[in-house]
Amino acid sequence: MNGLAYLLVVAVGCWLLRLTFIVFVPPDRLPPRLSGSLTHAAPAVLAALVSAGVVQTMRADRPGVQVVALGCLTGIAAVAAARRSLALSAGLGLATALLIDLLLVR
Amino acid sequence: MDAARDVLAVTPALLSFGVTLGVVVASTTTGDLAGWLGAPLVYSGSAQLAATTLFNHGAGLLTIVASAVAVNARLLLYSAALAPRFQRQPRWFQLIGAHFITDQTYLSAQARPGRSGADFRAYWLGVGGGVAAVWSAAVGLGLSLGPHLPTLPHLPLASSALFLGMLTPRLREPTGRAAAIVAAAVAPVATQVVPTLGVLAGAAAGIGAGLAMRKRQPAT
Repeated sequence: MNGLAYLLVVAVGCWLLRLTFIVFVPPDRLPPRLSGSLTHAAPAVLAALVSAGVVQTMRADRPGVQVVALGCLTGIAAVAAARRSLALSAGLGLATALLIDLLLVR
Repeated sequence: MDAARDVLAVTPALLSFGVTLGVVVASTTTGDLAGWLGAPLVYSGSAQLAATTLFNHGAGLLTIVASAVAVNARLLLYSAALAPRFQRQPRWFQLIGAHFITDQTYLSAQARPGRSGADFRAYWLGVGGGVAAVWSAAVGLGLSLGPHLPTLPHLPLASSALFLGMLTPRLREPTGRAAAIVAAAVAPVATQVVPTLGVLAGAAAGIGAGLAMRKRQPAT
């Protein structure tokens, strides 16, 4: 199965999610237990993606590079919490990757 | 006119996120065409980024779809909140219009509560179509820039930074923090044991921790 087929399945999954309370289920039928799980699903998945991704990316790095990368990511988290700007997070993340690969690792 | 104004307001964030996503996708095995078509079809940067990251790490279809859907679980809440405005609309609009539900369109529509009927349809399709056009162009720009950049083994850190940007606003509640801390602790360990299931295992542990903490909190 190639990348396009995977993304098509993901697209259908997301579309069905969006249709749920518009076509399939009346919105007042949302069980409280399910809505509780929904609240926790996003932070849990996002945190899992961050930690697994960071560990995988930096596994082979020197300790000094790891410290710089973790420092940058901590800073990005602080900026994201203060400014709530995804644009800023995107720019700082790209800058961190460029800093490490072009200045520290080479 | 309101739709164009609202699309313009969210364009800077869409551009930076979309270009970064495009650059990240260009460095993976997903393929440029898939990456570009994914922008309007998935219509969710977080879900596409999660799916692309996991696909590149060799995860299975179930893990990829479950993670992308879980990252997008908030769409269920948006769907429930927007349902009254979709309920008296024609079926074709319900089926097509629902595809445009995302953070930016939901927040824009909530700020214009007076629109209903055909007026809402025109506004919603304008905002949704405009956001889709800007988003697809931004991802396409990132995809074309990506190959011209030098080799960047740490580019996945840009994805992690984007995920952090999405995560931090969700840490206000203690239950959200508990879910995130447990998920962040479990995922790398589980990845060492079963690489393709690490994220899913971490997320499941995090959701469990959040629910357990919620149970222990006194009712208000």
